[in-house]
Amino acid sequence: MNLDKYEGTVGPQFKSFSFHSIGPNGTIKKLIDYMDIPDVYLPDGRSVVNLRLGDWDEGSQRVDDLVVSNNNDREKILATVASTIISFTENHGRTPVFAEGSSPARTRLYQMGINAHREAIESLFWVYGRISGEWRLFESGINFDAFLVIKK
Amino acid sequence: MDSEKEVKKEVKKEAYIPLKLTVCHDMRDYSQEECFVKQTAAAKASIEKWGLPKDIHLRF
Repeated sequence: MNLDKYEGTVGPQFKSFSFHSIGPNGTIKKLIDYMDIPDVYLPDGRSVVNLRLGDWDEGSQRVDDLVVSNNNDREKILATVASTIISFTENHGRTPVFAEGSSPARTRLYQMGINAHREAIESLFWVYGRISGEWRLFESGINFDAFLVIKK
Repeated sequence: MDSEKEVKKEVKKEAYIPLKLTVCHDMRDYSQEECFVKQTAAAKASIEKWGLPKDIHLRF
């Protein structure tokens, strides 16, 4: 996970992170927010957290999770997002983190990011993927539609 | 007797370099942003429909 990453900012509770993507399309503020999924618990009472990702739109002053920024820094963004999971779990215990893209394209992006750095990621996390409603440990070559990661 | 000498292989394990973060004590609260709320609603519906890994308890 020693990939090139952006420096970021985190809120005092280590649940909200931001960083700036810098590339040919300018500087884009990226936001990552971790939120307990209401009424979803493991048998031991542990909550499950949702990884939420979006771009801050200065014009509308809102978060946009469908915009495609094409800033030629996909790897760096994915490495930064993955590192926020580490930072989050270091501060909140081994809470399972659920991630599902806001679109199939974004889910594929998550898949590509995990696949590209699978060895490094799996040294730190158990990674599950869901396909056709069934969860299994992450495997390359399968198009999963959601992911769940647990810090080892 | 060199062959009997224990050959110690140096195993280099790459240390994880954490994300450089600055704590912002007055960071804006984005948690209730519309699209984030929608993402969590979608996640909840998705888990309610498909559940979680059956062997997840083995990871703790």
